[in-house]
Amino acid sequence: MSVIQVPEADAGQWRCATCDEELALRPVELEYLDSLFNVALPACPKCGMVLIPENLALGKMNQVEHLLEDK
Amino acid sequence: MPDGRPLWERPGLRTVAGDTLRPGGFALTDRAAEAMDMMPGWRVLDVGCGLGATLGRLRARFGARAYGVEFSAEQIEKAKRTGMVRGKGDCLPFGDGTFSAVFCECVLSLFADPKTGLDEFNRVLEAGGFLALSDLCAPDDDGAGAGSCADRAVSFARTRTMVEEAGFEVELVEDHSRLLRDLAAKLVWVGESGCGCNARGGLGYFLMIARKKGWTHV
Repeated sequence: MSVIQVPEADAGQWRCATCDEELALRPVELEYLDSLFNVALPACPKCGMVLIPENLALGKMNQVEHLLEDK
Repeated sequence: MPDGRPLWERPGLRTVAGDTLRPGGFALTDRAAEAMDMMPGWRVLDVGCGLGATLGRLRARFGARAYGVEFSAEQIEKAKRTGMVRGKGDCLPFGDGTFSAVFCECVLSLFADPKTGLDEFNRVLEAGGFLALSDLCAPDDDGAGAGSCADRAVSFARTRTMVEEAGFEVELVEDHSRLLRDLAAKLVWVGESGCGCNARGGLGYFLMIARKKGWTHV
């Protein structure tokens, strides 16, 4: 499965609060209902914690959820 | 500025669907070929073959002698494959009874006159030949107008009636609407949310295998 690149997923200056590592883009599997998407998202290279930027959560991710719920 | 090209010529679709340019990728192509017990050496035609992905798949995986018809000169140029000819699906440049199977994947709803297209599929098939049809379906027949494949989709019942009236016997029908939703969601991820796949509520996606009448069971 190819990795989907989204411009909203910018690691920016974010650091992991626990590990104090700079976040870097890496492929993350997002599952919702029966669908699976492989999206490049900012994540901590040490502990793997993923950041979902607010504009992505309220924008495309919200649209995808509504679409899959057929609303 | 919005991309005015049809969805199948936009890079966003190729990004999420690969060269197949349709819901499910090769999943329904393989399913159809297996359901009809496709044998090596079969002459197979893919109508609206786009970038020719199905031709490559049927040759490599099933040993078919696969040919394709595509109306878009741009798609043919991009495809760089053998066995593709430019033409319209409702006026096929092949003789009667040439093929053992015809594939038409996510294309029939784009035909100006699907009935004429189905008559052509029937004409170029040998008796007992298979039609593998996958396409969008709508909850009603209010579409069937101009625009994207989603705008033009008609009900499954109407498509089935047209297939049967064109001289086919339907052997298998499967609902694959989840594949359409998955593709529409992936298009949202890459910013193609204005596309047709989710522009009309209640759309579904089906696979149908039908067989040209005029053959006898053994």
